Amino acid sequence: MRKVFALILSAALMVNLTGCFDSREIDDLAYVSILGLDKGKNNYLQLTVQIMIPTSIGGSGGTSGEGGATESTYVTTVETPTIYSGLNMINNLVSKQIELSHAGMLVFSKELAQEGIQKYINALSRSRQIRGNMYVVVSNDSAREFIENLKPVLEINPIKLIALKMDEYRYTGFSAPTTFINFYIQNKSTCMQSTATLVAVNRYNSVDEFKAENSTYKEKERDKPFEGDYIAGSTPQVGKTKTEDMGLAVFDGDRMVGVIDGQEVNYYLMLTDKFNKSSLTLPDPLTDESLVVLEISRSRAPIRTVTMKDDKPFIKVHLRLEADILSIQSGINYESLDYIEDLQNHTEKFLEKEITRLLGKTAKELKSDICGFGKEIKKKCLTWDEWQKVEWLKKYKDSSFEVNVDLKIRRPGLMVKTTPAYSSEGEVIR
Amino acid sequence: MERITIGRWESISLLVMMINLQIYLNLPRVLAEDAGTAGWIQIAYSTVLILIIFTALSLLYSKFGIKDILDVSNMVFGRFGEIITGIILILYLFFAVSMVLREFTENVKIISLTQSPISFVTSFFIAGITVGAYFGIQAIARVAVLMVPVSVLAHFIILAASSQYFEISNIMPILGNGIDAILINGVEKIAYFSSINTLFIFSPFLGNKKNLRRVGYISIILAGFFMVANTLAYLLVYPYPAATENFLPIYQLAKLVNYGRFFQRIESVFVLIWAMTAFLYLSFVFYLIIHTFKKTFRLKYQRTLIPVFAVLTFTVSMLPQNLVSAIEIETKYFRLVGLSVLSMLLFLSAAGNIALKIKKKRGNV
Amino acid sequence: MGTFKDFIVKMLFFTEPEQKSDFFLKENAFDKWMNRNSETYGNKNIENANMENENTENVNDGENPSDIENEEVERHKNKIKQPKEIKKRKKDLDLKGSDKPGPNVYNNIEENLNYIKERYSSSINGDFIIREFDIIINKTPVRAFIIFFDGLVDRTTVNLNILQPLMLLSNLDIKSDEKDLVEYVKRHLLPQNQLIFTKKMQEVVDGVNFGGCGLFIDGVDIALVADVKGWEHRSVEKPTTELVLRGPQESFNEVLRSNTALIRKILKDENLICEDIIIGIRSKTPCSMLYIKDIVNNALVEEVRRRLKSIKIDYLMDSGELEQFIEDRPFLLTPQVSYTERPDMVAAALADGKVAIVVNGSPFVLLMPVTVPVLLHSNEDKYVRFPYANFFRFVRYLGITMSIFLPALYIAITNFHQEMIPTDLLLAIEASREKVPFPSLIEILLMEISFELLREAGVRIPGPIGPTLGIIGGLILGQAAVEANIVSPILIIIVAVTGLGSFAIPNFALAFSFRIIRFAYIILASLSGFLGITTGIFLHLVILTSSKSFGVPILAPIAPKTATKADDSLMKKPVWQQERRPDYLNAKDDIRQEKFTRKWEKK
Repeated sequence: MRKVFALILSAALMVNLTGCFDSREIDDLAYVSILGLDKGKNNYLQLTVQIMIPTSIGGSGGTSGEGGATESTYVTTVETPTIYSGLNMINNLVSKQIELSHAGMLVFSKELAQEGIQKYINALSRSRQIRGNMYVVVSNDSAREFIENLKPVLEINPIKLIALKMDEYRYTGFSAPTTFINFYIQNKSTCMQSTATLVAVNRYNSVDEFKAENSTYKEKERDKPFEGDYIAGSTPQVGKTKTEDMGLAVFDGDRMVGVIDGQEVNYYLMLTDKFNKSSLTLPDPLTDESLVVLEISRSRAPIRTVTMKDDKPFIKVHLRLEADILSIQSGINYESLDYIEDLQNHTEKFLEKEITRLLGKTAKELKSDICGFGKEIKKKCLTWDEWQKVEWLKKYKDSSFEVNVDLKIRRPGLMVKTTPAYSSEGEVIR
Repeated sequence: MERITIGRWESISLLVMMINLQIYLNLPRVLAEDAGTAGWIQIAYSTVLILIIFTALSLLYSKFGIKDILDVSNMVFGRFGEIITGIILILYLFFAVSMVLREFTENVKIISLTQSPISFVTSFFIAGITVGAYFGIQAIARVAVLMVPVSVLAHFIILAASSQYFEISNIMPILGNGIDAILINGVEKIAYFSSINTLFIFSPFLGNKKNLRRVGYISIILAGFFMVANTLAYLLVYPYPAATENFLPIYQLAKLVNYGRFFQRIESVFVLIWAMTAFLYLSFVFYLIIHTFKKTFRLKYQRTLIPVFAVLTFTVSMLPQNLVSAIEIETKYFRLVGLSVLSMLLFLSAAGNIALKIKKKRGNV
Repeated sequence: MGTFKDFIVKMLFFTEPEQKSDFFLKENAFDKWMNRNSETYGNKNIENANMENENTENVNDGENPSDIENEEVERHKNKIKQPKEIKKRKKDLDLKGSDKPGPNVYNNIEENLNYIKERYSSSINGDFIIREFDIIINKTPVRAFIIFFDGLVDRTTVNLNILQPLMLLSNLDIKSDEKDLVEYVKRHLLPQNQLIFTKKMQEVVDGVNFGGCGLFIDGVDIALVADVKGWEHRSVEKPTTELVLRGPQESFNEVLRSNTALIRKILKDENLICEDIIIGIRSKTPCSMLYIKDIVNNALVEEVRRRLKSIKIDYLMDSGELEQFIEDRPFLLTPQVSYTERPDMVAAALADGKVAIVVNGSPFVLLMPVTVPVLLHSNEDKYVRFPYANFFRFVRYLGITMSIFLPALYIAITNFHQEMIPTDLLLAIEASREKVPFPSLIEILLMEISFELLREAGVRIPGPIGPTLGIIGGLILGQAAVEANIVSPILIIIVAVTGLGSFAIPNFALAFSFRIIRFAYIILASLSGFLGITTGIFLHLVILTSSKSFGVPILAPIAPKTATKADDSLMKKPVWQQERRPDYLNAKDDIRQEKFTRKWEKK
């Protein structure tokens, strides 16, 4: 009986010898933080990955590491037919096994996006390793250049850099939360189109190279460009951060058809109720040379109504916003009850004009319903066949818009009125 | 030996868990395919239908107290009928166990253990099932009453946490593919509630004939509510045509949970909960197979059957060549088999009632 | 279930495992059990007890125990024949004096003396004293002698209460007309409070062995045994293992009567019965079974008594041994009998309807039946206000979960589910693991085993070095190991937190069991991550829910749910709301206090 028991016990213990097929030690893996896809010269695709080097990020055990001068990531590029074959090739190059489960960003180059990225999105969504909140961005230059130039300055961990950077839309409004899951859902949705944040490497190397022609201010009939009137890559800035994100790439289906610039992204966020707060610069209502800066934030969700007027959509949007005054350059007492109405009305008109311009651009030029107005019609249909008959995405280009902004200025900051400075010539009035 | 009884809440947990298992497998996707954005309406409709059927069944069954269906068929058709019913039930349960085992191991393989051979993963389940069936139905029922509330709670946490992606327009248009699609295809969806058949197999353990009806109603209502909630959440996140793509709908929902940089990608914790549900389901149905087998053929010993059936289950679950064929077999034939067993139950209870009446008449006259 | 070995072997060989009878604590079993005689009870067939079932089928799980046993016995008898020498040797070894009738007390004192000298080997036995003297009765000296063990008796009592009256006071003129010598001695000469008169030598020997003083008088064939116990023993001190901040600070010592006195002085109930049971053929250890007669379920008392009486061993040392003899499943890791050192715990348990066993020579008193939620309670929960008590309980449960699962979760997450870790933490772990040569599983096992070594060593180190070693071991060894890159720093934290969690468990037996279970979970987790852990939890729970402790399911009142579930199992209700005793004990008198106890609130 003892022998039998010994046999059984040894058989049971042999389970441990089968090994753990899936057990991979945490330091046997190489973690990818950014994936980049470019159009290949001799092949379909050029795949770039940025791999994190843990010892310089995490510090080494008990002894203290040196300063942050060491590289925390390194970048590899291969030319390959598909994403997974590319990962195979990179696995060959890198000493550890590639693991995608911590990837934070997916970069497409502009040429690739203009050809159509449906197959890549489908390929990635089939994998269990990809995170849903990986950001999808389109790079104005090539993806490889962007990834090589994306270096963390204020932090060491590139994932933290990506997470913080992509979250900036909450207070600047110049990009949008274009996570992979949002992109995927919008892509496959029948009532809206997808967008991706636009990124690029900044083209200026010194302050003397700044040019104003790269901005869109002229189309908006302004004298000088405001802070949002740029797209990624042409913002006049010089410094340690070489990469920037501003603007959105607009897709029709799975092809990129155009871009909208930073300020317009603000309006896009307002229209889709993703807006949090940002600052708005506008010309002074009563004088012509000064500017007023307001900090606008979301008050309530926008009310959108869509009706079909003989097969053309008529879209009516009612936005509700709040504002705090940041700066009044002219010193006019807009904080008082007499003038505050003026400022409010002027801001409302300004916003209405700009938003209508943006919507017209999406309808006529881009022909892409990024704000998802199709949802309102979809809610009214009773069955799926009815909705299919509406064929919203085809009809969007014929739509007309009416925008109504309701802005209330709440707080003036710390100053209730501005008294002028006194100079040798009396009051200073600018 | 003391007669083993299961309490009321234990049976309710068991039944709710058995019906809810379908959610983890492929229920929301199938509903989306059939009824479009109105999948949740369809399953609510099926719940109402099954409630009606169950009322009819329990009314017919009320004269039999807590005898199980084998005794009823014995009364109607004699020993021969009992054997036939027993064989049908055993085949049905066996089929359920093997297919669910295969699907679950495939799920686990896709989600976490991608490189292990499937026999390795199945052997974990088989070990758990064997031990569970060895210790008997009381142990399984008590573990169920401990684990099922935890599992339901975790499930609601997933649903609540994915609420940041909810978009009301995703379930519009409200009637989906049309009223006919909902109503007519909804009838065959009552096969998802076919686990209610097992209530009539383990009814002797319930101890009290009032319990049968109460247990049945409460479990159907709870399970129906849960299914509707799950399907609704899934459809609110993924818009209609894309909703038919996902193989593991609830897993995808769990994957989306994202609060800050720290609370992300916790779907593996939910794998824990689902694996526990699978263990409970499989060991319970396995125990029922053995119990039915012993009762049909009037065997003396029960526990010696466990290794035999374990090996059989393992082998049969390896039969389908790939995952897609396993799913197809399960959805196509399982519905048929489930519905047919349900109708067999109805028929037998009706026949049993008639047989009782005849006996009374003969007894009086 | 028998042993694990039986289960596995019999499953493989397709034989049916033996059915031990399962004892169920039923609530209607009071008077029926009291009226049964011991024979039918000993037949182990409780099937007849289930009367009140409706017209339903008797769902038997298929086995009739007596049939199987008879069959097996038959089979055994035909197979195995013992050789004759073993049979004979067994007879000789057969427990000394259990049912042999010993000789009676002789009339002649010389014969008594010789017998005693031979029986006790008094020429060799150094501490055995024989004192011969004369008693004066009616002016005639009668020879007598006393026997006792030096050191076991209280010398003063022997001198003053036995020798002095017999030797000196017998001279006095006692006004009595008692003719019988023994009666005369008993009634007038021996001012001793516990006396036994016996004709059997064996009883005298038993009495003297345990601190009595035997008195033989010439011409009388009755001997007297006086209870003059007085050996050196520990006084009532603070408890060593179960310390509380608030609550009485007394603990049991090794003397049976003083222990029972400590309990009785708390309960002050005349219904508190203290039954004597002698366990051990040679050691004749006196044990006491305590219960409160009008609360406890009689079936429980019967079962405990049955188990105690059927043990046949020769020496019983300690209550720990006794526990292993009477528990349901000796191989189950969870204890089924709890023990305590504090009289207030025993008193509270008795007031709930449990049974306690006090063993002479052991300061730990056994309590039964026990359930796992009760094992997780600490004594302090009763004496401390209820918000604090619930908070401490919550912290304790957290500690317990961590002590079982934390290493297994660490291995599962870092080896199988790396996507769950926040990226910052992941990179930190990976950076620190870069220089470590071992895989995580080996690291964890190394650290756990060295931690267990440390704990074992720390128990035995004497005096002031003990705590220092703990600190040294923990900090410096751990730090040195990290510096030498043998383990990664995060592992030190995990092992330390696990150890701390296991210290939070009030019952030591349960803590020991968790130390073992933790290793099983680590191995399962290293096999397949979360699936392995789930399998482990499922198996663990199934085994737990089907084991019983004296007829009570060990996870009651969580599973199966009973009426008073929420009173005191996981979270504690305030003491003025606990109206009923625990339901799973099926006590006779279920109500502890009325529904509304704080009557001053009503003005």
